[in-house]
Amino acid sequence: MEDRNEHLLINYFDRTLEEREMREVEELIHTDLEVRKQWQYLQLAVEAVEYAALYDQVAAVRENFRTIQPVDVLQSSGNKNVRVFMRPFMRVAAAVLALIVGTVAYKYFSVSATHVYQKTFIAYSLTTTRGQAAITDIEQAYRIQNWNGVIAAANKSTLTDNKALFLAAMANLQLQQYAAANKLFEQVLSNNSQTGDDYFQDEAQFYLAMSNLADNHSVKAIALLQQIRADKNHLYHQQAMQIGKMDLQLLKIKANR
Amino acid sequence: MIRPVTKRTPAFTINMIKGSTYSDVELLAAIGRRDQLNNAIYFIYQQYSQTIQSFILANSGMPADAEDIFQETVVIFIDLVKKNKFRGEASVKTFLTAIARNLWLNEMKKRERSEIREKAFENERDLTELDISQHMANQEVKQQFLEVLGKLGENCKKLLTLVYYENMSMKDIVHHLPYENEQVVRNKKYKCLQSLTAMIKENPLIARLVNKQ
Repeated sequence: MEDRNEHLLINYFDRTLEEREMREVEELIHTDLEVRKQWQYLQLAVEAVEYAALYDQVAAVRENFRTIQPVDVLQSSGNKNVRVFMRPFMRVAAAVLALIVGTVAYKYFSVSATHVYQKTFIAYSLTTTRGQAAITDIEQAYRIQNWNGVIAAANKSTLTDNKALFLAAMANLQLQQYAAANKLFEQVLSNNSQTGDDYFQDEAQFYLAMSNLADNHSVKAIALLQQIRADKNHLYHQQAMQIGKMDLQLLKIKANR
Repeated sequence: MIRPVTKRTPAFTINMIKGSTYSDVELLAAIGRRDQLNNAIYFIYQQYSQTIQSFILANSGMPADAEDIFQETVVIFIDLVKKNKFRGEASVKTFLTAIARNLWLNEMKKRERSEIREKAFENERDLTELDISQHMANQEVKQQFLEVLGKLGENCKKLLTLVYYENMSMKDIVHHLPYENEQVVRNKKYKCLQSLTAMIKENPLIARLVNKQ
């Protein structure tokens, strides 16, 4: 009996009952204490599913945020204010000079390939796929940010499709396996140059640059970023333009030293 | 022979998670929209994580505590917004701070660090006096939810998440999970929900809540 009620309640919750049955279950919930309790437990079960899913979603974004943010965001500054007595014009001149020297010095020492990567990297997300004909295992794993799952699914199949190659490369990039990521991004570019297509071309180019930055291969990264910056129709043109010219120059100088 | 360059149909779009900025009102609206939720969560992290985590650090917390408390704060906040229990009565920052403060106090109580607890918040009393106790009443039950779901098994958890969180149809699920057809998905979902309900029923803390009602 309890099992039958449970079945009815689940169908009632899912709104898959006929109108008449819906009214009967409603009546049962109001009149039968046991059924009401069962109904409450069922609602709590679904609430638990929703809460756990939300928890996982926030955890995934937290992870994403951590990979992008510099690690020292939480360090508090221990500087104390020092009062310096100077004439006003001296103060202004000193402040301007300190600002210029400070900015250049800060830029020189703070700009690094990984720093530029952290500032420029944006997560690549797949859109909702309602209505999409077929979702591959790779896409499914990618959507839930199961990076190892993406790679496992990619390893099971022979990767020839640029989309699958690209997603597998992104999963490697997220796992900081840069060499593997580079290889797959390069494969996408190579496929396109053989076929004359541009399928996932812009994406692979940009994220190959990101992967090279993260892996401290600044020269390769700069070359790709300059191509993207020069192409106004590139999907990631704006993102690449966010990197300051000075930062790119400093990266180049540092890479050639 | 070189094939002509084909134009791509936008099967995928890029969510520029970093780029979104919201006012308080826009943020609440974004939380209500499935396609905006990741952006909204990311924005909350960008905008408030440093302030609130610094607050925990300044009150005897370790960096890992600060991160965990902030994550839990965000989950509770979004849950309340989704259930229309927060509609902008206070600013988002004040509300988040109040949740974090409440969580951290409870955590310290759990750790029985009373001497620290007395000292903590001494300098923070006027930061927020917002009373959110009614919103936090069932927080322990929520923790139990996570524990129970953890024991349910990955396949069932995934299936129920797709049905009840992603609102995915049985037809779509067939493409996502290795089930033969919609009927198999429906049967499996029924069994999973039945097991979960039984586990919820057996949980003493949750049972107490139901018996109180």
